[in-house]
Amino acid sequence: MSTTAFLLFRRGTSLWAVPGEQVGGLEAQGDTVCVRLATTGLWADEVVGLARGLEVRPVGALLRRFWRVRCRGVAVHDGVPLVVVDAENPPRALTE
Amino acid sequence: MKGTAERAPGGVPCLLVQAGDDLCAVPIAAVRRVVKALQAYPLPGAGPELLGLAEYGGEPLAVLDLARLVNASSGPKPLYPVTVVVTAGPANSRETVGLAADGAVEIVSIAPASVVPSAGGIVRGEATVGGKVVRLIDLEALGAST
Repeated sequence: MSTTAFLLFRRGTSLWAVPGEQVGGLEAQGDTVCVRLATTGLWADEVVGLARGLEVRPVGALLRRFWRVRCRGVAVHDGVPLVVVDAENPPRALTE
Repeated sequence: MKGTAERAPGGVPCLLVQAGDDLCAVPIAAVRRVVKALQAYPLPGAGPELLGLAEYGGEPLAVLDLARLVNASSGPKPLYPVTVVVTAGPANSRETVGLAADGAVEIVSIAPASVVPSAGGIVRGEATVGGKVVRLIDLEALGAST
């Protein structure tokens, strides 16, 4: 179990997480929030909160076959599945 | 779901699953559970076969559209009231995955000799069961890279 604190946010219908130590700040921009990272920003519809102890699982070959976006893994928080963002290679769906 | 199996000597027990217009036979050894449809959260950039990620037993679970996997017609707004939770992929790296489907119909036994092989993909072949054509699903092939 990870002791890292993760910032959880929602974009569209999906829940995402990014390690808290990689978050430089949050900036409200209209109806959205920009999660500032070292080299880029991630667009969020809603910041859900912080979570510790996520059981982050690597993406298996089967999921990878149908979803080729890079990430650090997948997990569940409060019964909702989420994707842990690779801050070095965030998905375009979060940066555009 | 009927509880009796249609017998075929030396046959492989399979769960018949309705997927759109097609009946699919999923080897029962790979079926972990049939549950009410799990809520799948779509992933941006996913292939059309992947409905999304769901939560199952506290773990993230990929949910696939069985009708799309077998190229069956599923209508414009399929509801998929059940999720068949199965293990899939090569024997040395099995994974758990959900197959969204229209229903679990019955358990049958399919004799390997009765299967007419198909060209490949996740449909191993077709067989006739109770006068209906069913498509035998190859869950090992599902995990193979494309």
